[in-house]
Amino acid sequence: MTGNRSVLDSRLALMQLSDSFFPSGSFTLSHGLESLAHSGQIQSPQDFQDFLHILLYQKVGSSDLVALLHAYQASQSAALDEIRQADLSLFAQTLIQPVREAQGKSGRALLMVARSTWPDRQLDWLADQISVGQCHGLHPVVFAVVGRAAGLEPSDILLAYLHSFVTGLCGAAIRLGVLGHLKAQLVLKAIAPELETVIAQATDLTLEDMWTCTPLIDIAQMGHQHLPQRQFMT
Amino acid sequence: MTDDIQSAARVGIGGPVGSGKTALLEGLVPRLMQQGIEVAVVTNDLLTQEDADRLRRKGFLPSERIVGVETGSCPHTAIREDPTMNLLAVQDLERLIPQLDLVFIESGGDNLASTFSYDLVDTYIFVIDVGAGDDIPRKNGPGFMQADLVVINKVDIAPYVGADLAVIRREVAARRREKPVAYTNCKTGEGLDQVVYFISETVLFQTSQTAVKVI
Ligand SMILES: Nc1nc2c(ncn2[C@@H]2O[C@H](COP(=O)(O)OP(=O)(O)OP(=O)(O)O)[C@@H](O)[C@H]2O)c(=O)[nH]1
Ligand SMILES: [Mg+2]
Repeated sequence: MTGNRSVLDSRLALMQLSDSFFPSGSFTLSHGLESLAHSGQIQSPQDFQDFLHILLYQKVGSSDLVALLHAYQASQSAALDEIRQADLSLFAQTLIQPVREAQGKSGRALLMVARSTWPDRQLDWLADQISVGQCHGLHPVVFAVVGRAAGLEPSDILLAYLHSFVTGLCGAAIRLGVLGHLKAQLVLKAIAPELETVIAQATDLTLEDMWTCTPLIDIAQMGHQHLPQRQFMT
Repeated sequence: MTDDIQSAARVGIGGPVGSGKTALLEGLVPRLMQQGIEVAVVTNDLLTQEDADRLRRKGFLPSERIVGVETGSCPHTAIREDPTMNLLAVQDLERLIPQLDLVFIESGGDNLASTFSYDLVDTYIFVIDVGAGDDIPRKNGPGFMQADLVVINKVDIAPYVGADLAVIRREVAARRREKPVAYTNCKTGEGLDQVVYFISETVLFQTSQTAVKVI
């Protein structure tokens, strides 16, 4: 009985955290999509799917998820220094200033809501660390600790992270006129089997092995703040 | 840690596109500053930092007291379903300016249904203008009905757009009952003292009631 209960709790917590209704400001991020759509480099649903593919394999899976996993394990064993290490390593790996800023902002936004939803000592510690500048509170790292505080399994935390990331981008693509609501669901379905591969890739890497290679998207991110009109923060 | 920072009062300003939200701020801020109140502004522009830039150009507030937040073209989400980015902006202002008394949050222009979350603001003002027609009160928009103060702006243009102020006054009183309303002309400052009075009475001489403590 109690076993079923906790499985149910954990499934519901998973849905709650990965729901686009969960308030963490993600609807203000386009991860470079707005720039690329503006310059005409992304115009069709297929372009968008290719963009997702590149981001997932060459950035999210090879760095964000690695830091997330590391932070989760550290959080699980209450190794606070290791959580900070994951944050600092990811920060060092993230060279584009606006991306760093966005990662920090969405991390803080998530932390703010999570602290009031799942009160937890480590979340309080993280908030203190951020406010004294000991930690950047990057989104994947905060997500890991929040997932642990909400009682999620590591595999579920990774899925929740990827699902939120991909659906958030689909929402941005719809608002940017790159695709419609039906195509968006098809893209989500098409990309779903790849998420497992992306997770497997991340599991094999250590913090030292993190890498990213998304030059086109990086350039778009750097040019974003110079767009004459902007709907998104990135 | 951060919890001992005194929160500033937060006042939302919402209403349809072009109704005069920024113009109202341009009138209110100097009047409040004259009373020694420390003010800052967060704007939620739909597309650009235009409102933030316009306020900066005015020069009545140091530019670090004006922050623009991009809303991913969802102005109502940013003030209601997911106000986290606005809360972070407020929090950054509070850190930067510990003596801050009051933060205005101007919503991106939206429709008659836009309302603020009370997890974001202590009170909010809904601005409509007479140019949109004297039948606006009759449409019962949630923003108009629920706002703590309604500002009917641009009273000066009523004769030119065929809007009857007497009709508006009657309808507003019937629908909002005892909830406050101010009639303003932001070009001349007419009616702004009433708005200042409302703000002083409702939020200024008490600390923020906002429940969610931010990091
Ligand atoms: N005649 C007259 N014009 C006004 C008044 N208040 C504002 N305006 C003008 O109305 C136009 C829109 O005013 P804004 O203050 O930019 O309106 P807003 O609600 O901030 O607009 P958005 O932020 O774009 O939604 C500007 O041209 C103002 O000069 C008023 O009381 N009388
Ligand atoms: Mg404005």
